[in-house]
Amino acid sequence: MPPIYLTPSYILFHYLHTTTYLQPPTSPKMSANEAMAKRSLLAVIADEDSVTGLLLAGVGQVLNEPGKESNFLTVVPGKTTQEEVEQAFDRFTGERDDVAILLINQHIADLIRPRVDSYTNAFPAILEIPSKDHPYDPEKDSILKKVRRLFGE
Amino acid sequence: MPTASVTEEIETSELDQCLERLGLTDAKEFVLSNGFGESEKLAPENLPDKLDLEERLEGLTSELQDEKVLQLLLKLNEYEDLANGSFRTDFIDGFSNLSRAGFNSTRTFGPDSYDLREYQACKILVKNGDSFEVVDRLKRQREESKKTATIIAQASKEAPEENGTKKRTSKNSAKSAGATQKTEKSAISTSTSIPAKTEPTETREVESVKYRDPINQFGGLVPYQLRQAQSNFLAAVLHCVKLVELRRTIESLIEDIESFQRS
Repeated sequence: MPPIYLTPSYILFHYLHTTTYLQPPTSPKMSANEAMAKRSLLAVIADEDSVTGLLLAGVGQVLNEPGKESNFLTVVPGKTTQEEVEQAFDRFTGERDDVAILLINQHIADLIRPRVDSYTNAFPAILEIPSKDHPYDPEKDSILKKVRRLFGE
Repeated sequence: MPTASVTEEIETSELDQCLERLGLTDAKEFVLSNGFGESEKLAPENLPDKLDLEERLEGLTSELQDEKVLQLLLKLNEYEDLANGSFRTDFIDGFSNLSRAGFNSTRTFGPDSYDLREYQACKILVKNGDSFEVVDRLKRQREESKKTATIIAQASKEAPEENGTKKRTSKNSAKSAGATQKTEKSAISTSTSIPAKTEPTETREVESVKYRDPINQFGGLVPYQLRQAQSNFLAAVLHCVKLVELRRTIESLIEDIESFQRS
């Protein structure tokens, strides 16, 4: 191999090569679109029957990647603590960047109601779903509460 | 329409402020639009006075607010119909069928049966403008495998025909040249047929790794109620996505109306 002479032109060429070709420019708009495109999964925090049903629908994913082991948490009464639910909520809404919608049972959302109500991010979106023992209650729907507040009720 | 003499009586600063609020300071021809596609052109000498401008502005604002409230009510109606209708019944039917499947089977379908080996989600969301679209990757994979199967079947049909023509030419050449050429041509024909046989198995192996039907994790023969539950929950997922879109629209309309109320 011929010797490389560290002339100014070589150093300038190497600098330009590494800075222009190895680090393509990225605009904030492109990165936001890319971030949105990555958000494609539905995460679930629900009881056994709800998780079973939603897994049957095909939303479940299990990976060997640390931090993204699974996109669902099965809440077992008496076994799953409130802290575990809060940790899962923070993981799906904050740490993970591939979740677009978080589905959570309404009665489980009541356990962490302050955290759910104080959540204001656009993505992932949060939707409270009914469970077998707790059907859909429009009185507890947050969007309907906002509408009632708007009309002065 | 107020005349030019009326506009001359108004203080210039107040009129300029009104024009600035409406964005009409540098215009030579004034066009007053109500934001709903209706507009009227005003010549400079026919500019309305300050009071009329403010009234028109308030009128525009109240019309916009009414329009927003109307949109909110329509979206709210759509949201409540969906939430209290098919969204609710899909979950109820799904849970009911899941319970029946467990009753009709020797085991329950729950966390003990989950397949925790690595697999990809079959249903993902793709951003389509302002809305989400649910993409079924398993269905897409099946369609692609059908296409490849038909292509391979066509290729395998063509290959024997080519082998037949090659064999005929080989026979002719063997008659003219000798027996060694026949063996060579037959070897070539067998070698051409081998890739056609191996390709379908390779594609099948790839399919089995990529996306799997989640019902298979509960066994090969499952009660039909479990398949019904699967279709119920699949419909429920589609309704969930629709509800999320409606919630976003309603929240943005609420913000707009609250901003009108504050101003």
